[in-house]
Amino acid sequence: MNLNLIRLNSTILFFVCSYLVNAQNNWDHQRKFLHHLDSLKLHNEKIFWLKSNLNNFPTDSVIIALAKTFISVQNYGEALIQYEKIQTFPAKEMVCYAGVLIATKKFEKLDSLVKSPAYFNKEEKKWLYNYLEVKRGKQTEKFIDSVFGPGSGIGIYYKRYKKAQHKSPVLAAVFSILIPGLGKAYYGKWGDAVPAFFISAVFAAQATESFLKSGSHNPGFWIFSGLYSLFYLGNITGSYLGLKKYKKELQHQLYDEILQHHMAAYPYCWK
Amino acid sequence: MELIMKGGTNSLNDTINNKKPMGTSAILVKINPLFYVARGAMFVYQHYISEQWAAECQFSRSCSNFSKGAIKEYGLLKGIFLSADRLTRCNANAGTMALPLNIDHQTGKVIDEPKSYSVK
Repeated sequence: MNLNLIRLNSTILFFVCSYLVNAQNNWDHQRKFLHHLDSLKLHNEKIFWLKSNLNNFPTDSVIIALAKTFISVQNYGEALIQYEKIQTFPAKEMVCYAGVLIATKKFEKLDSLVKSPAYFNKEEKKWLYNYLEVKRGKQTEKFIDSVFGPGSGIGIYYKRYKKAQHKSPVLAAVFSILIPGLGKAYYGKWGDAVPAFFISAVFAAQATESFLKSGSHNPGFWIFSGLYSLFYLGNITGSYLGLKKYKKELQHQLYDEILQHHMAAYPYCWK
Repeated sequence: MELIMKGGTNSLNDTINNKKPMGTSAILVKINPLFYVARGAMFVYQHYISEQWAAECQFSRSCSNFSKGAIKEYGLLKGIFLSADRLTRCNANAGTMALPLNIDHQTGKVIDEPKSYSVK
């Protein structure tokens, strides 16, 4: 309740101040005002103010300020739209644009951006080169470890991603047909493979026991063989689709690690 | 890290444009008695049995809700097979093998949606 009251008061204050500051029509003065909005964490108000003043100051600095505010509320899609409106990029902003492209997974655009390295300084060029090497997935694990460190997230998921890339979902399904759970073990999910094997084995044993006791007249035989079939076929489907899903997830995890690395390397882009 | 992407899409327009007339397969699902039996069984389980057990599922979308979603998404047969696979995966190990991106950090549960299995 009190928090809502504070927020309401600060919003009213914001409108009064924005009116006063707007009258000055001076970007430098208004930057101070925006800084105060930042310190009060009034991000939505800042976005509203910047959008409404974009016509008064259609300069790149206003667009960059708007993009940065969208980044601070983790709305990377809107931040990207703003970045694409910029006419001439300041020296340090290009690498932030590259970061937003990673966050929104627009990798094709980023690749074409990296191909024109005139935009970046030496250090940024090196970072982007390493990033491209990770994305291509053709580098040795030793190289990745030497660049990012042996215990880094990128190194760990790069190895797993590279291993999973060569696995075939059809082969996983075939393994599951041969022995339930083997398909999951094939792509390293032993924790899923062992329960799948035991569940199928228990139902198969129960069905066999019921059949040996009184043949196919035993209802237990039909119930357990039905359950066995269900879990057996479920395991084949799960192995086939699970591997496809696992590959995609690993790729997303790797891209997230790259994004985290970008955030650590260029913190001023994400503040 | 949660990525919110609202990149310039008009959700209302998309919804209107994607509205398609009901196909024959959708009508067949509607009149299939097995569909109602499965839904009825799921309702009884979720409202009367699951609550009594007070068991905690390891996944953020519980197994029964996953099953409902999978049947809706892929049809009865594939949906049931995926549900059976999910039941074998729902054990104490589920959280230890999941990738960090798939863990809901607020609840500590593993995110597993039926839609994520439609990978090409």
